[in-house]
Amino acid sequence: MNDHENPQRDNVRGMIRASGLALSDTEMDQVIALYERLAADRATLTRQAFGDAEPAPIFQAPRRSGQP
Amino acid sequence: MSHDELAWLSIADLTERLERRELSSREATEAQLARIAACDPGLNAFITVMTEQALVAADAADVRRSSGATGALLGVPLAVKDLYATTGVRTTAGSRVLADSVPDETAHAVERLEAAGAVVLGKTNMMEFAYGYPHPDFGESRNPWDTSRTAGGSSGGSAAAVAAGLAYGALGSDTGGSIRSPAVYCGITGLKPTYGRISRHGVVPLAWSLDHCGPMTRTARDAAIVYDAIAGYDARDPASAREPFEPTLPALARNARGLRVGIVQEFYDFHVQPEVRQIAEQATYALEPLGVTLGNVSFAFPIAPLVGPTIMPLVQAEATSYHWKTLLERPQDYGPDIRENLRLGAIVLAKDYLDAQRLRQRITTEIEAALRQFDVLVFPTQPIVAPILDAYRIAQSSEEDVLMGEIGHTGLANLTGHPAITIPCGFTQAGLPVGIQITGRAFDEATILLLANVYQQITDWHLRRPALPAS
Repeated sequence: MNDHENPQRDNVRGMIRASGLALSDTEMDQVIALYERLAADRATLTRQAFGDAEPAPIFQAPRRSGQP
Repeated sequence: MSHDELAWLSIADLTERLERRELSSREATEAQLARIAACDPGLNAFITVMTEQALVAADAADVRRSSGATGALLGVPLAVKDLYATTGVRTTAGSRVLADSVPDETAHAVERLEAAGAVVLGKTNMMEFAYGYPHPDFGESRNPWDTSRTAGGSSGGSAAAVAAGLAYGALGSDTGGSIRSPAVYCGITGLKPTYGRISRHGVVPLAWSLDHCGPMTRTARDAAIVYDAIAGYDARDPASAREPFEPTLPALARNARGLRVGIVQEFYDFHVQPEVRQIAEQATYALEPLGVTLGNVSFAFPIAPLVGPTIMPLVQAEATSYHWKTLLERPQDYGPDIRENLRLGAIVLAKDYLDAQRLRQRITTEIEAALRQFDVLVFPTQPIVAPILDAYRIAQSSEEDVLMGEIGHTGLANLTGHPAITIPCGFTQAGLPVGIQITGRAFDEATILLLANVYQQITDWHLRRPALPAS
């Protein structure tokens, strides 16, 4: 898919350039491909576990009481 | 007693001999230094050996003992992972980025060890910045049980040193399993305490919300000795817990009768090699004669496959936040694997990070519920035996399941913050160690150490030694 067909990927490219991270086109492609694969895996597993339900509020470190 | 016999004493046994004046700390330290010189070229466990400082510390410990001082670590030679700052001794974190870095302060945990009279033998090798891959300048630590295999990571040097009898114990750090994973691969005991229990002051971070310090030793009793010396509140670590601390060693005098042990079946299945599963199951049922009650844990949803995808964006984003300036200025000084991961962290969306923190809370709630029903949870520490060298690169490129399986088993306790200990529980036909992990309630290190200790009283897996060249 070309970038103009994938606005999300185009946004990520813009974000990387704006961040000052000096990557070649090949390096940028590698990083974006890895990100997309991990994000897709995470989304699939989360959907499998929770469906459309909200997972939880933000994490808090555990306390001795056993209640996080 | 030969240097080799001396090297295999536990910390507890060594201290008894030091107390009885059968042995001096200088003799024990010289014996360890001799073994390091003989064995480490084949293991690559140490980055820096602190020969002169160690002998000075050993002599000081002997003077203190002769003046009537006592202590469980007084004069005991230990090693520390090379991300703990040590005043005047370079601290590399296994990276070219810090190859010439010489701190002007000492990490809290090392300060506590030195205050207890321990002798620091040297700084151990590690995966670069504890991020899972070795930098080519330092190479990977080799496994004493089979030097064609990795010692694991990221605290691989500490694990190899302790397993090979080059140190009586060591400090490691654990963000997704970096104490427990090399500990199981090298057949030793590794304790990741509760989040906040041991100060990370002076320790190069990987991911602040997941980083833990802890001991790596040959026995659970030794882990308790080291843990007791370094645990407790420290204002210099913003995440340090103010929970009251009580030494765990006295608790080891109890028996395990009546403990409720929860078997987390899904972790016996998730990417677990059949031989590892069989050994771990045998070890689990071997707990029954100790008087514990075994039961099965059930969760509202499968947790094992969620651990990796939840922990990774947290590590990626936090690590990149820490490394950002250096990544922009000196990207060439990172190894290629770490560099790619740090770049990846630059594009983790805020939404990804927050979603991961919310998933983390949901997982934590399930574990908390299980720990109201059971005193501890058990499952295999790792689903596989020590991989061949360079396997981490292979895992990233073609066998992602291996990586997900590994971090799935150990990363759970980093996500939830609960204490977890690994102990050796058997060997494969090929002679490679397998370990079982015991996870406990927050700030209840005493119970997991107790169960690990009583298991080691009825088994001898922790007493087996790899064949190494004699010093």
